[in-house]
Amino acid sequence: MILLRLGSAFLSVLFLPWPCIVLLALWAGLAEPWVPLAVGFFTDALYYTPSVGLPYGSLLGILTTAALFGMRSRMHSGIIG
Amino acid sequence: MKKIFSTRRNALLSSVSLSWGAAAVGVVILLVLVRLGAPDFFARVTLPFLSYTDTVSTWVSSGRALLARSVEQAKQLTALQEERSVLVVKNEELAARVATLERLSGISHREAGPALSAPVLVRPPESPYDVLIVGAGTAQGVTVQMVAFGIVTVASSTEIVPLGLVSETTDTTARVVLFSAPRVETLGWVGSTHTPVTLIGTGGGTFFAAVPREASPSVGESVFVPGSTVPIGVVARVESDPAAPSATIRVTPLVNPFSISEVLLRPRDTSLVGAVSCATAGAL
Repeated sequence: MILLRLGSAFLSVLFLPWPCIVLLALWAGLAEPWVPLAVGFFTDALYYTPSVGLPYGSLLGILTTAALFGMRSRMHSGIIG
Repeated sequence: MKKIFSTRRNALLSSVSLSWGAAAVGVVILLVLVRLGAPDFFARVTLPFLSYTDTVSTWVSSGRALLARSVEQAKQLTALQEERSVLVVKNEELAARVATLERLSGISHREAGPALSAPVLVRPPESPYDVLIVGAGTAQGVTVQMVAFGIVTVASSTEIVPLGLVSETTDTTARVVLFSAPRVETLGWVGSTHTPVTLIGTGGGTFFAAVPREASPSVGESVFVPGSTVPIGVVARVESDPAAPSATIRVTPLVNPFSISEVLLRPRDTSLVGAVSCATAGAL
């Protein structure tokens, strides 16, 4: 199941518009928080060019992964407490 | 019975540290390094996938078109096909006329700068930065700061409209940053009064610009950039606040970057490159 989510998130970078990439990366990120970061880097590896400014794919990936890890740790501590 | 060994094979490489996501991050970082270190190799590896992107996008578009097909669209298609055949004949006539004039004058139109035709491999929205990846590179003679033109039919004549500048090239591909890319600023003018404006890209092919309120154009007026007699877009909306000295105009493009399949690449046009680089302070 993780591989399906991972594969669909990566393939979306090649074939789908960016809102679909974000949704699929989030879906995969719920199971595996590193995926949005990987997808963000992958998007910028393919499409980023310095003249367009900030690498939004990577930045969004970093933020999403950080948020997912934060959410996870809170859920874990919530269960333990 | 006492357990005398750990079930974990390696205490340092637990299953948590070897997750699929972390492995993917590692692989992608490797890809980024390859792109930075060997852009030509990276382009060669990714080119087949990017070609599939174009094919799949075309399938999806044609699938959508099939769903939305109506009798009216079929009629339009027939009319366009007829128009195309007329244009093909007209084009042949014009080509013959150009050849005659060249022979008579002894000047070749290619001396003014040949245009390279390049297929668009990736376009928005697949490329999220208003960047086109085109299937022609240094091997075909593409150089940085060449101007990319889109082909458009205006009043039954085919015209070319400047879309953006080539920002990077590899052997087989080139990246074209559209004038409408976010943060890219282009000097131009608007309307019959030729009011000078700085067009600021907002993505998706659109722009906005501030104009003095007393000189604000009306909706539908054309917007031009240097180096082209064909407008790059039209004013779609004028937002004016009575308290502000200037009005904001929203511009929609003449060539839709979401459906463009081919561009013409022409050598660096100094007036156009100057207009872009002046406004963006060397961003391109």
